[in-house]
Amino acid sequence: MIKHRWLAGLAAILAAALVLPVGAVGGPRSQLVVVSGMWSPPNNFSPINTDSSYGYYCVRFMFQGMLEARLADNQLRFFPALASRWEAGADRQTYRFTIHPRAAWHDGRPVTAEDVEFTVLTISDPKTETNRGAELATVAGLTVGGKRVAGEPLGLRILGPKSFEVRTKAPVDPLVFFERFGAGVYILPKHILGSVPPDQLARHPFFQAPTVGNGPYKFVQYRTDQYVEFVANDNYHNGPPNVRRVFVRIIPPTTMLAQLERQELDITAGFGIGTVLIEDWERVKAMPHMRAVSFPGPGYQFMVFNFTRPYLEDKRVRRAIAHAINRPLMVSQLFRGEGVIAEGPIPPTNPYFNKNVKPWAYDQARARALLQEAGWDANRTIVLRVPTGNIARERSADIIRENLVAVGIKAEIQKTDFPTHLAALTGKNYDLGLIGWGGATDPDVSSQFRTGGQYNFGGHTLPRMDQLLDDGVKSADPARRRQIYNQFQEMFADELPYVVLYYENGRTALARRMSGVLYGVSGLYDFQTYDWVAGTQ
Amino acid sequence: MAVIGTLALGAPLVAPHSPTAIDAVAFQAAPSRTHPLGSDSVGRDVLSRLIYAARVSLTVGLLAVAMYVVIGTAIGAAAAYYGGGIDLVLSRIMDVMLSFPPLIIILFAVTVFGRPSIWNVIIVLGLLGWPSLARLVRGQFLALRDLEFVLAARATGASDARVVIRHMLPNALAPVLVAATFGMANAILVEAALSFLGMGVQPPTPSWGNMLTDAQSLTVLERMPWLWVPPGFMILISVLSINFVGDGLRDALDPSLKL
Repeated sequence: MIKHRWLAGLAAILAAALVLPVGAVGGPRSQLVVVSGMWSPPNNFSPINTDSSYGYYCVRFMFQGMLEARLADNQLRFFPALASRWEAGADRQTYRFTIHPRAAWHDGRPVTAEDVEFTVLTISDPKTETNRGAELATVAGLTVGGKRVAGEPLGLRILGPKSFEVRTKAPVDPLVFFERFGAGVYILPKHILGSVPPDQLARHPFFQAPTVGNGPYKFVQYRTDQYVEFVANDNYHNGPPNVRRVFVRIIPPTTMLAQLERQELDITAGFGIGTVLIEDWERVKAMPHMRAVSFPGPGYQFMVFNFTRPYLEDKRVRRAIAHAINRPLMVSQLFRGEGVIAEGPIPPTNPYFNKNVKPWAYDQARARALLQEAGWDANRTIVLRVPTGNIARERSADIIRENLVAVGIKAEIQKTDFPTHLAALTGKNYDLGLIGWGGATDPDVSSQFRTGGQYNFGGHTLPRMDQLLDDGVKSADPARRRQIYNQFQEMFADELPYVVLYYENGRTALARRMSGVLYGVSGLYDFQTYDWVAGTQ
Repeated sequence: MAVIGTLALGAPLVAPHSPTAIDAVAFQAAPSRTHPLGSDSVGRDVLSRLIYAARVSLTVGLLAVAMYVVIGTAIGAAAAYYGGGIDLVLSRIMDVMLSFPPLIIILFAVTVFGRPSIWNVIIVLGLLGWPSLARLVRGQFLALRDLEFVLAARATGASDARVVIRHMLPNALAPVLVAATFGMANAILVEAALSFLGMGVQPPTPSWGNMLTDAQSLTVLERMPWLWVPPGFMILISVLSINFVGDGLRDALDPSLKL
């Protein structure tokens, strides 16, 4: 009898071993499991307030907006997410959405127009902590920051349980509206969060474990600093996902290569949050089981000038510095050609890119002449502040400093962690500072270049630029907007509030066994994740 | 050791290139005739950086140790000479300081001091390194305090300072010298660790520690040994040779080892 019990125990253990998914810790041996890797952990899973691309990468498996927006062949295209139909009125001011009849929360409750209204009211409440405000900037009754104006009615009307209409303050370009409101506002569950006071929402436990979402995947667990686990939502209205389980692992960039080599990783999370290091790129290309995918990145790195320093206010000095920096070298050597020299804040892949803007050539003689003309004090030492973390950016600082010294500008590098760096930029405690920008598809860059904009790190004030940016936001006519942003880019190249350094290519590894993965300029691989297919290795 | 010292002093003459000059065609290039030890991730000559980095390491080692030898000797001597309450307080301060994990407290101090730089590393190491040396000096002085020549000096009415400096210190110097030598090796290691972590010497100034930061990538470790073997080797050699010097000094100066 004792012997039998022992056998039964052994059998149970064996059976359990068979039943347990092989990929539970992450090995991609099953067709049903996919492992993605990104560099840093998400701080929370709030669809309206997670503070980084890491967080939104995870959020987008679980939460959706009305649409998914994707830039392909220089065209912005929209795909259904929660909405099954969307249309712009002839006045370019009224927009109607119909939610998919079977769109439902993970607990079975239908997704309704009331959830949308709740989400908009939550984001626009001045007491809510959110970074989605800009997505609502055009909606009637809200400020440019997406906050409610006392006494003004909200431009959102519920037409039926599954349909609603949004009114904008003024006519807007439908592409802009659909990209911002349609694809950028992830819908919150009113039946779960409706009773939470807005000022307490940011600390609500739901955002640490969002068990009720509306997307193709359901939240399973988050092992702090290790991985996030998702399981397929079989009731997903656009069809159940093919891949049953997705693990998003947190892996430092330097160890990603080893995991790719051991076939423990199927996908790196994409632009800026899981880019393969340039040193490792050739080896990823040589891996028989991986595809090395490189695509033009939407984000760029730039060097900002502190306009509160009188000696940097002189346009000639900024031009001299632009001429002094060897940007071709950065692209050809630092990135081994996996990048593009940047001239302005609107990337060459953007439909609004102005290709007539003349680039600032690398010309040290010209730089020296300009400095002399501006009466540059050769004994002045300026501080170039550099945030740590992005290895290529840290290296580019060494090149910049050497270039500046070569034309007679004494420069000193000061490296700090990112939060300290941001505080120094905001506090205007620097001369030159390196930083990057993600870059949306819409060309509106007011937050960086308008007087007093939230990300106007240099603190510059250029009235004509303000005028152009305001006109660009207000104008609803694509042809007129193109004209405005062409002028803006010309003015940018003339005034140089920043030296834009380069657009680094997205370098991502993708397992050959996977198909149906959309990648491209946004590079986050999180489009239509329900279409992902994983074969056997 | 002598070789490293000479290289450091004569760096501008010995080094084939400037340590910050960028070679526009050779990034992470393997050793060649123009770059005998290859070039680093932004095209700078590894050999030249190695030679200039010796300056940083030796400066940190010498100055930091000089600083804490002065502090440590003064405090250790005061504790032993005056004894009683003063000794009690000073000894407990030493105990407390010795119970902190050194690298963590140094990291913290460097951050608090404002921006990291070679001078901050020196000051922090100098200000934090003294307790173990003070303890050593205190032990020596306790033994010396009651010897006849010290009592004689005090009986003739010599001031405290004179007794300590003229009569006691020369007799306690040998172990201090030995400890200082070992301390210098340790300071070089700590500087390398701090610079590796980005909290020490700031780029583009080369230091053996910050040259090693490139070695965090697997590809560099496996396929570009010229980026990390030379600085690693230099740290090893310099620490080893300084320790040998220390051993030699101890053999020469420690009477208990003589038969």
